[in-house]
Amino acid sequence: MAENIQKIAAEELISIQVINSIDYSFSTGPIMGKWFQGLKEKKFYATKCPSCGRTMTPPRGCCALCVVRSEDFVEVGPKGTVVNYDIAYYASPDPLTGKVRKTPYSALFVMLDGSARDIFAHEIKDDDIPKLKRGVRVRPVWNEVRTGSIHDLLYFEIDG
Amino acid sequence: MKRVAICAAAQHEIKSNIWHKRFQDMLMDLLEDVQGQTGFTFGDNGVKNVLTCSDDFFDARTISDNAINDVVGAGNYRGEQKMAQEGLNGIGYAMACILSGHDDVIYFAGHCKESSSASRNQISNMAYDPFYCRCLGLDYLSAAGLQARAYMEKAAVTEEQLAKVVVRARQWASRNEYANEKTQLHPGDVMYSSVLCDPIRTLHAYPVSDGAVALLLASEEKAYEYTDQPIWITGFGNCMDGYDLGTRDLASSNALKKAANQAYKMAGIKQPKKSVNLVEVMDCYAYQQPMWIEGLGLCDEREGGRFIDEYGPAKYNVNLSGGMLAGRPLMIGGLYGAAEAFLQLKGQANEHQASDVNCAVIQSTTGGAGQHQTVVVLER
Repeated sequence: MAENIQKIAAEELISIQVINSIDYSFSTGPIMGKWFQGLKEKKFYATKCPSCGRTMTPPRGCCALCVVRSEDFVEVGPKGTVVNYDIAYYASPDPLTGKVRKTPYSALFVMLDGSARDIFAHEIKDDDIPKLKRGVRVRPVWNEVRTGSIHDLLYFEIDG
Repeated sequence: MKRVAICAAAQHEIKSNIWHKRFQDMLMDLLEDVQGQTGFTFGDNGVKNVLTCSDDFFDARTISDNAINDVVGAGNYRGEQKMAQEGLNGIGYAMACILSGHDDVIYFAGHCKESSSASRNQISNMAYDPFYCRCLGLDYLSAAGLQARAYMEKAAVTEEQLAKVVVRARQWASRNEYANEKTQLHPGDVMYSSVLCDPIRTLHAYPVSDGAVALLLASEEKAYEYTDQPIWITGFGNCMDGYDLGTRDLASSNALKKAANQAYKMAGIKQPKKSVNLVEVMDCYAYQQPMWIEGLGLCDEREGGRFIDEYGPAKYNVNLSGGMLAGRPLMIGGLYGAAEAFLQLKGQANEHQASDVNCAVIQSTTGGAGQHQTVVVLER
């Protein structure tokens, strides 16, 4: 009986593969726009909350904690200190291409120099993964061709 | 019964492509606007619970409200809920929060940037199932085309009448500082505009629009802390029709009739034709204005065309904002209607102010061809 049900299921319960695709274009606005412009020039811009003084990287136009407009920019980094990380060994496939990125890779939390109560998330150079520890110093590695996108920053590497 | 008030409303200027701002930037402007009007704060003595309205597909991310928590004051241990239907439903949700005693003040902000997608039809195509209707190309425009043909035949609505609706919408839009499309038209411009999805013509369809709206709602006890002139939400109703277009009577707005009756009953309105003196309908396509008016019971069945020709729009102050036909974004078209009615009831609608308004009805819809319908009654 159970075998029969499985046989029917295999024949009749068809699943159809669908790829959904929508074309978008997103405004970066004056705040994120400044951030991307900074990456082009190998600079990290943060906004600073006028109320509590914390920095936000990438910059946000509103401090989530104080709920006030924050549009004053400060430059932070470029070097920083690792405060947290994980290492992914199983990557999700890209839903549009089915391709899976090379593993392992890291999710890195960096406290950029000069920032206050804020972290910046990126990743570490593959070769440096075995040496990764909380508290190590890192520096950015920039793409030679920079267009004002997140790919202008390739990754961080251990400094020294 | 206890009452719930709208204490303040803020509207972002509507444009077809607000390219210079993220939706977060737009919502930040509205937050400051509402705080400026009311002096409200977040926390134990103010707003503890926030409501938002946005759409995952327009914003291109799931759980789209996560991206705006900061700018609605919810990013720091505050309650937050997202209305994933047209924003007018959020007024009902906020009422429930307040009338249940869970909250006494709610900040509510909705946004939608239709311009983010290359075509809003690509987005509404995603409303349909992935292996049947979506593949056949059904979207809100083609669903509306089916409904337009069915309704226009049933109620004998003419091209001339639809042209009047559009021409009038643009006239009123020219007086509304927030409206999107203010170019003035002659009836012939509408009647001979290119066909978009027969029988819907280009100028029968609302322009692509970006915008955002925010409201502050409060219990009767709290309302006067924020305003001297609260506007009362006296009625709310909503109703869902079938998902499959083939199972529906597309020529009749049965869901709207039920939603309206629910709202009128709650507001104690027995004869809407006599009580209502301002209407905001979500007319994404010109045929929908007379159709929704019928659904709201402001004219008899099949009388929508005559309503346009003879007596209706002026008598009932229909869409003095310009309405959807002058451009409002999909997810918050009705929420803009509520903000407009709020201004009208307060006597603050400036150049498009109606006289002697005390009972306003706002209608909105989510889904293809008016599938889900919502009605709110606001009174002075």
